Amino acid sequence: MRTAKLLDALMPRTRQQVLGALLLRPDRGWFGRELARHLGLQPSSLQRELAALTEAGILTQRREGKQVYYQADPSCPILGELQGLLLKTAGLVDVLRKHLKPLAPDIACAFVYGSVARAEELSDSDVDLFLIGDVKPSALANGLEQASQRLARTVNPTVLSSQEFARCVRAKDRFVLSVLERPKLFVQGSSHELDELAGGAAGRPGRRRSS
Amino acid sequence: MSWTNLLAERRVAREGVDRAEIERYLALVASRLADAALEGLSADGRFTAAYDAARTLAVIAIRACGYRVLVHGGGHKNTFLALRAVPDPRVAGEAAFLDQCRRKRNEASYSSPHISRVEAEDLLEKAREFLLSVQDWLEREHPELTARDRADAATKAEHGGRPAGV
Repeated sequence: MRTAKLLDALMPRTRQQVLGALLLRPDRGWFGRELARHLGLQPSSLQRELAALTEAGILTQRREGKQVYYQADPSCPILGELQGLLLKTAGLVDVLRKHLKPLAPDIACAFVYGSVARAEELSDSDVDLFLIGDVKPSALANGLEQASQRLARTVNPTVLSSQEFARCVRAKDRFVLSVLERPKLFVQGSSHELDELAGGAAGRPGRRRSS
Repeated sequence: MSWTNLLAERRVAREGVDRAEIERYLALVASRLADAALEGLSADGRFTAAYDAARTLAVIAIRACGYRVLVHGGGHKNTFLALRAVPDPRVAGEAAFLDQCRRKRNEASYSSPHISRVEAEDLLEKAREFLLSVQDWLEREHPELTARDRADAATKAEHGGRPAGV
């Protein structure tokens, strides 16, 4: 069944990002400016969302000194359901990051591309993960299988060494260039680091959308 | 997934095996591993050859357990689902990675045709390790199916040892 832009139909993008960050890390409190930086948003645009979600009983707030911290409200009766929903959508990046963590020192850059990153995800679409670094694909398999189970989506990695990636960019490899030109959700690294890995030969990689 | 569930979902069928069949499969594995090691081949060609070798090794393990993979729902997919039911953690433990490679091969065939050098070399290395794991397991649990331990197998059969096919 095609269910395009699943979460977009339910709530605005900013609210998705706020819920994805807070509900999937229920043990962590965030103050507004810190959360804005994490999500790449203006602090002013967050305030209305944080207030509405607190009013609804989905978040709690507490004051510490001059800062107001926001956190998932564990007594929210639909917390589990919301978390399940977000894990399959906005919470994707955090889940992948967690399962890639043991290999993080060897990963130069990792991002999601394809329909999920383009926000054209289907309810059953796979997650396409592009990974550059000194990592063997076989070392990813068990972690990504666990991530796939948690997300209820298959995660398909493409792995290149830094040297091979730069070589593909120089040779104008069609697949690699098409990935670079399109939106991404960064799991590790940033568009700046990706540009450096490409050796400036890629032109301008796709704009960073999240994380 | 257990053998019972695999049978119920028609992903495998019960079928005995003999040593000659296993030897034919092992010869195919050796040939595909040699192909995958050819430096002149493209990464895509090397990956495909190494994948064929690894998948054939999975088939050997499944056949040694007394089952045959069916094509219902996808023969390659069923192969790696059934591999998880093989009662040896080293052999069954390769299923997650090999299924990842199966999806990569499908992608390369139908949508985004990109196999990197590191992906091809890693699969070849893992296929070589998988060969050793499968051979060790066969010699330990199914010596009647290996040429090396033919005499042991005969002795085991005489004393009521466990037959092939679990």
